[in-house]
Amino acid sequence: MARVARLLHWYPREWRERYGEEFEAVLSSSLSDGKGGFRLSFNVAREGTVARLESMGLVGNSAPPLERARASVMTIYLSMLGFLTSAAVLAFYDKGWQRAPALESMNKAGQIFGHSKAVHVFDRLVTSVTYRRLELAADRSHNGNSAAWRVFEKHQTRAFNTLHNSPAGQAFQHAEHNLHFVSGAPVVLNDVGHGATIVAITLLVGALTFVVASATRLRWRVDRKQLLVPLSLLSVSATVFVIGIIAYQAFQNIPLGQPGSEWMTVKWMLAGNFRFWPVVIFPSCVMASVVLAAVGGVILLRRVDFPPRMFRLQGALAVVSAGILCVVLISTLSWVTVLSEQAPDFLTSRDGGVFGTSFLPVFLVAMVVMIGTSWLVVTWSARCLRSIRTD
Amino acid sequence: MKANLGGLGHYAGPATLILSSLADGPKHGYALMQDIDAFSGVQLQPGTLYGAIQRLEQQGLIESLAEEGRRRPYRMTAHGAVVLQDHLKAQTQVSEVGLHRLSIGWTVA
Repeated sequence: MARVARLLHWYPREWRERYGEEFEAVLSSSLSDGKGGFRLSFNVAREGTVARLESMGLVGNSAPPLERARASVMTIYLSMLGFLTSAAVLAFYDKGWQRAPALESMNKAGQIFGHSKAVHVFDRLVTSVTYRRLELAADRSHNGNSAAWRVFEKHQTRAFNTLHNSPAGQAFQHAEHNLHFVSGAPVVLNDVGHGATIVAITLLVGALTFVVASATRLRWRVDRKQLLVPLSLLSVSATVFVIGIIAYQAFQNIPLGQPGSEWMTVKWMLAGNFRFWPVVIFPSCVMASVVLAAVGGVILLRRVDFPPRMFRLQGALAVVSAGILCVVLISTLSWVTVLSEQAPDFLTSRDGGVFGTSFLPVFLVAMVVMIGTSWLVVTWSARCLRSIRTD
Repeated sequence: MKANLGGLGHYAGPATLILSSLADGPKHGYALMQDIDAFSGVQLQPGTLYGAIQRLEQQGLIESLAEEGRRRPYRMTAHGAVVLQDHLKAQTQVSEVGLHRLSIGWTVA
């Protein structure tokens, strides 16, 4: 009988009130006849889950229209959060893309320079005993204007001139002065994509703020105590996000060697390349903020009894958002396509990113998420509006 | 309300079996499972059975009767009988065409 009770709990409360007793009798008879194996448990679990999803309006048409509209709005909200998080990760990861061809030409010139005879001569000069003695004498003088320091400076200048006046050195300086940055179509497409992302974020935050403000004015017969948890979660989400942004900006502004800069490297990780604030604190704050916003928003949407006109407005906003998300998708795809002509090494080079990975795998994962979530926004916007029309 | 079994999606098969079983009189859930197993060899699981019963009831093709202890019998409605008849006639036509074509083009052992 315990097993029967456990199986019955796969179904939602309303279903159990209607069919629970007779369903229990069927289950008991099946178990008594030895037909209660894994197949029965799996079947009940599956059908019970479907019944729960139907009662929430997420599948099928048996739930009331307003429930289906509510489920649509929840799905759209979570999909937009997923889309915008992926877009933000992509924007964060592609920093420095405009310098990609410049870095490429600099790397090539630098490699030639690094293998030149001039570098070899320079190395021999600065590691020679005479040079070392001059450097020590200059240091011991503790005076940048001392005779010892002036002699050392003269030898140092001679060594660097030898380096840079060589043909390889001059070619490197020429490359430095004639850096070519990405321009034209990639810049425009990237700006369009980022601009559309900002518009989508503004739309989402604005819609959520409007819903929260309206719900707290008790226009839709809601118990204020019920709003405490979701509003708290949304407030903490916003606070944590702001903390993350401040932490990241603070890191950017701490000069090396200043108090607080000891957090910039964690030397027991990757030989000083690991950066604590942008790699740990900032992403942790942003992910926690997104999760809290998702949970808080879903709880708020489930507890507030919206009138049909509110769902109509949200459905219309969702349609507009779907259009904006499509703009982001198309511009991002176009940007990568044209960028691959101007900066082919950018997609596959291992120089980008704090984890030393290339841009391409991050881009592919982000695009899969963005395409999937934008499809959800488009289809569930239509479902939301259809549900309201049948109400 | 016009209905057909095609609108039940993957519950159409179980719905056909349930209506066919109810065609000779009301039955409760477990009796339906036993009868269906006896005449078709299909062992409907309880979850699938009640998924189909719920949908048939929503479409007005069956109705519940007074409870007998913990069990509740169901019977087919007049509308359900019409829908079942149309559905089985269509299935019969498909069966006849398929069997005829097999007899012409195939030698089945």
